[in-house]
Amino acid sequence: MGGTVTAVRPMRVGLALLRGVFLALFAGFIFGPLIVLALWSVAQQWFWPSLLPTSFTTRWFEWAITVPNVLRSLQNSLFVATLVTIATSIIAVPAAISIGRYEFRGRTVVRWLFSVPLLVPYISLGIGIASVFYTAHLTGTYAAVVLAHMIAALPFGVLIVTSAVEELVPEVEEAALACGAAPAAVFWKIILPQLVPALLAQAGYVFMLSMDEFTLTLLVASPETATLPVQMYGAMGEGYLQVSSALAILLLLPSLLLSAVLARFLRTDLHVTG
Amino acid sequence: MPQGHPSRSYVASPNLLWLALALSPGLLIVVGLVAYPLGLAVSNSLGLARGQTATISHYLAFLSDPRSYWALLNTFALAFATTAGAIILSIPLGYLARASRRFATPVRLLVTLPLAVPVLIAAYALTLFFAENGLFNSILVRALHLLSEPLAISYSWPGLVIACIWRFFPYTGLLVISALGTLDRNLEDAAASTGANPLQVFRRVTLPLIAPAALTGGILTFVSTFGTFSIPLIMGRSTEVLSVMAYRKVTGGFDWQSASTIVVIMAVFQIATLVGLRGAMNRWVAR
Repeated sequence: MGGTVTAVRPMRVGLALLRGVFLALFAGFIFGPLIVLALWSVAQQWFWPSLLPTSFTTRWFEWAITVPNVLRSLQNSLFVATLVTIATSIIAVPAAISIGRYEFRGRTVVRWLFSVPLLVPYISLGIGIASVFYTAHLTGTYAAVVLAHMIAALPFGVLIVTSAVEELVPEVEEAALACGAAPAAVFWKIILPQLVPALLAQAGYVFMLSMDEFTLTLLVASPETATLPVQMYGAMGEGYLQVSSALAILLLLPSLLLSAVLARFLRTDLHVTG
Repeated sequence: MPQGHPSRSYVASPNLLWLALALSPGLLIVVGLVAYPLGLAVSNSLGLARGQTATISHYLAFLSDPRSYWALLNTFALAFATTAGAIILSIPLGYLARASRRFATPVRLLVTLPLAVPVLIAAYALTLFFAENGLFNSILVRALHLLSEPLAISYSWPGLVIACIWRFFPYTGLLVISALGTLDRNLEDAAASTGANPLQVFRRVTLPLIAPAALTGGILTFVSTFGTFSIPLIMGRSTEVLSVMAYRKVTGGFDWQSASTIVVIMAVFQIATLVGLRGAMNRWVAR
């Protein structure tokens, strides 16, 4: 070993340098596009060949929240996401508890049915419901947008809660039952409190998914019911570079924040359950 | 009761009414808004919607139109190129992450970040970054003088692949990084100490050990890219893929039959790919 050390050392340095350069390039690849987006959203002027914007402004954000169309799409997004979160929770949570907790005939089929939306391409779902809504004259209504988002959200809502239910330690409930607690009391006082982190994670995930949803909304919404991503796509198409960047940042920041919170949430949740 | 399922012991007889109440709204949505529309798309594509007898003429029309088989070819080529790119990018990242604790956290954070970015926003951000007058080109041309002319990456075929890699490689990356991090290094050391060079160690020992993870993640990356709509909608100006083609059939004249035909073909190909790859992987793992 001793003899090879001197020969190895320059190679080690080279390797460390190579690793550093690779990490820096990779970081540039990941961060670069997001930095450009952020810069465009506050750029007053940014022309080739200047490397960075030559003057900055917050005008585009003011524009984004004062222009009637854009403001309405922001309100639509919040309204739809709130409804979707409530409705999906009401539907997904009991279903997930049933699947995760009870043995019944057809359980595998039910579990599989809830994941069908994840098996087919997203655009297939979109064209499918768009044609159904079109013939039912639902296209362009809030109901259409909310239902479309619920299709996208339901599989995740069910999955998140089911896996939390399956991780519950049954001895706690057995102890409560053995001590004479009624099954209903066990559910409300033992099972539900343990599920609170998963329920919050589910709600947060569904809300975020609804805020970010674009494909299905584009197919079923009208200009009056369009959400922020659809409005942003419109602004891109019309070439309003700074405005669409500002809208993208408005959408991206809560999304990143919520992801970070959820990641921590789910991790502590895992720690708690072992 | 087997040790593995202790939780089932006291809930053997669920209340059927409660079960029906709890499951029916969700199942109603899945059946009514997923299964029914997909079935309708199938019957639309077979010409059944107008009360006629089944015909495969829409499929024949699709396959005889050069534009549509180019779109089919583009869709597959994009998905394969992105998956290959994702695996190739993930392996050095995995080595970097396990080389030292200092690298592990930044690598993991960087790999996870794109997952939190909505696909539409990712597509737009990459279009701006790789535009001819964008930051990437101004760094290469103006700051580093590596190029004399800016590269036209956005809206090109390679640009589309790069954008898909940016957004969809993490599915592969996270699995490959964790596989490389947890594999038994003694196996590699044993191979190296018996005279294998680093390349041989990689090909004969490391690669087979991380292949299941790379394949599992690769399937996720493949399926995401195959079905992606937002990225080619924004970046694929010169490259048409099936998802965008189906959308344009609807927006340009409400041609639901052609759109249905395209999305049914996509669904069939995606399910076939998933089933085929899973079968291949099971055989491979069983070997």
